[in-house]
Amino acid sequence: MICYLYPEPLYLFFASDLPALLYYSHVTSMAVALFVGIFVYLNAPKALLNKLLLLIALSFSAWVTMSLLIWAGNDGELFAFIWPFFAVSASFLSIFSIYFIYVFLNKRDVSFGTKIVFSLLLLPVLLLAHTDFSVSGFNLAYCDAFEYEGQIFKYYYNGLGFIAVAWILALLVNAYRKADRLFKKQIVLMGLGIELFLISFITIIFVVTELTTQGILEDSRLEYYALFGMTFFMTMIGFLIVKFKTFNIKLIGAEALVVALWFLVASLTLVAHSSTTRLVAFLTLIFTTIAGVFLIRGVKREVQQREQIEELAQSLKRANNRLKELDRMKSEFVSIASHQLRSPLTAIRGYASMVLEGSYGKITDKTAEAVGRIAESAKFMALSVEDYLNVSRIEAGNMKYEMNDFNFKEMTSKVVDELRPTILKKGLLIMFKSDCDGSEMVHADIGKTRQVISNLIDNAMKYTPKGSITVIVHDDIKKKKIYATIQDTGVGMSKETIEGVFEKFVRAKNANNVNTTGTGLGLFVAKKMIEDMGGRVWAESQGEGKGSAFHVELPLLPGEARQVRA
Amino acid sequence: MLLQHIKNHFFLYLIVSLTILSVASSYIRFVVQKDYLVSYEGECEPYSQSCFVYCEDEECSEPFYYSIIEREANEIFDLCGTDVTTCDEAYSCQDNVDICSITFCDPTVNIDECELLTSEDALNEESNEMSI
Repeated sequence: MICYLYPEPLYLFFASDLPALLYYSHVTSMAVALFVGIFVYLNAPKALLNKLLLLIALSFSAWVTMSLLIWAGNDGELFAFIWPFFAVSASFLSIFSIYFIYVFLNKRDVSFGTKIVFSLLLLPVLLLAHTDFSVSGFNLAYCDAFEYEGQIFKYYYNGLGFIAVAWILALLVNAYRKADRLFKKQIVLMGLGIELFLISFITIIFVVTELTTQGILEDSRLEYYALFGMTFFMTMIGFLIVKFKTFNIKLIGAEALVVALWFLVASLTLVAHSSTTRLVAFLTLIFTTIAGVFLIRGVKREVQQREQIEELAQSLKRANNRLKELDRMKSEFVSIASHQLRSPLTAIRGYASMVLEGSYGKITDKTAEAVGRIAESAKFMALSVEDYLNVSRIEAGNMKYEMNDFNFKEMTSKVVDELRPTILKKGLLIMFKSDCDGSEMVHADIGKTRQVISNLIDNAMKYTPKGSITVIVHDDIKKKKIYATIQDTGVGMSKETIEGVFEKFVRAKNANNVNTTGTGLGLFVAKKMIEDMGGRVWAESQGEGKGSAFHVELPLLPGEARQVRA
Repeated sequence: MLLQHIKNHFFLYLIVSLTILSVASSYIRFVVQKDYLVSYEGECEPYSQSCFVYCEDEECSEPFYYSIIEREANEIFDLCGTDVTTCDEAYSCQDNVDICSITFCDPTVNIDECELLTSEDALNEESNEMSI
């Protein structure tokens, strides 16, 4: 049956006397819906949410295709056959939209009971679509079936649309109340998209068809305004994908932008009236496609590189944490082991000392020499154990400081005096210099400060084969600091050695030439202790063979407190 | 297992099967059996019948007078094929046909759409043509 007043369609469905905006609204919105629906589905075909979005896109596309066919064609028989399926596809859109929003909000399938409700709602439309309740005839003059549509059927499937709008709104509001801040944003965007789409689609089409049936409108061409809601909905979906990785899709902004641009340019070819404009739009489309492909490739490569770097950083972080854990376990082990070693060492040193003093009778010179070596080695071992213990205490954060006010110059001078005999015995000179007036007080742990100064002088002695050691104490009233400098004429250090000399188990390259017994922990312990007391330690050297200088800095007590305490 | 599978997918199976059923039923009804009504514009003589009138322009310089014919699609298809405009039988109801009606314009219902010309109108029209 031919609609005899209408011409044969050109090409597939292009008719000469239709407004360009009709093609723009139909083709563009269908292309966008199908593109997004298929793209999302292909990214995770098993995800229910993705399947439902595809079903929405397919239902919408079915409606749009039928509408285009009727607008552009003149085959009355075909149109009479497809006319009932406007109701079917619109009903599908309504029910799938509710289903989709439920799964989006709850991240799970609807209950069996809800599926029964969905089925019952769809059942009348599907069962009655081919009967007179739906469509009973066709007007060949106007090429439509508006006057033959069953009123109850029409109100039923349009009512389904309004039920969907209300149901979705209720689901959105309920979920919004319980959602966190981030999900609230997603709910608002998704809700706006789907509600505006459904409201515009259902309302406009219902009103336009009613007015056309009653003869108030000449035809139903105003329905094209109903379709722009889908483009808005799909834009929201795209934004959710880019911004929130919804549907578990990693889409970069550049991809979305290029696709949107492509659709815009492509749709221009549909509304262009002159062939020149259409040609320009077509050429721009080709250019956009090529440039878009290059842009997406470039951006994707950059994103992949960034992700690889992020992954590397994460694995480095994990490795670092593991190393820290291992280091802590090692310190714990060293601490336990050192405690176990200290007790027998004390016994060895004590008995050796008693043997040397003759508590167990007179001994020969050879025996005395041997026992002396035992005592000396035990002493060194005790010092090493003390170093290990200090390191483990520092790393575990268990080092205890008994902070008191004391005279720094006096304390340093005493340490020098105590070590002088040993230094002189080694054939070295030791000098103590100070320009301080003797009232310089510091607030620190005197025992640990003494230990640090003693270690530094002992160090200077070990690495100075000949020459002298000078200990200088001076202050800087402006900076409110006091300094102790231990200067020697020993083996010196290169620039590289200075950089690592305060690290654990690090010794100077030339250290073994003059001293083979160092643990490489003394300077590390000294630095940590002084830093914990608010000061700092650093080293200087002119180079290998040119001696070294170690500086200790501690904050002075404020002037008034210093005077009171002095 | 099977029961659970059906329970999980019954909605999909139901709508797919019912959609297929619906498409098939519609196809059989509208395309194969042509079991529906069609309406189209029939002939109308404005001097003797109350006609619907269609105007191309505001002045209605070339009015088109018509009646509305409604009949079963399969019956008109058997008589005329797909194009009713090339078939004289399309403009009258045959005696052996159950459903066929020719509707003329009812001025009490379609007050602005009807036109019944009088003999005076015919004379006016003739004099206009003579003067041209």
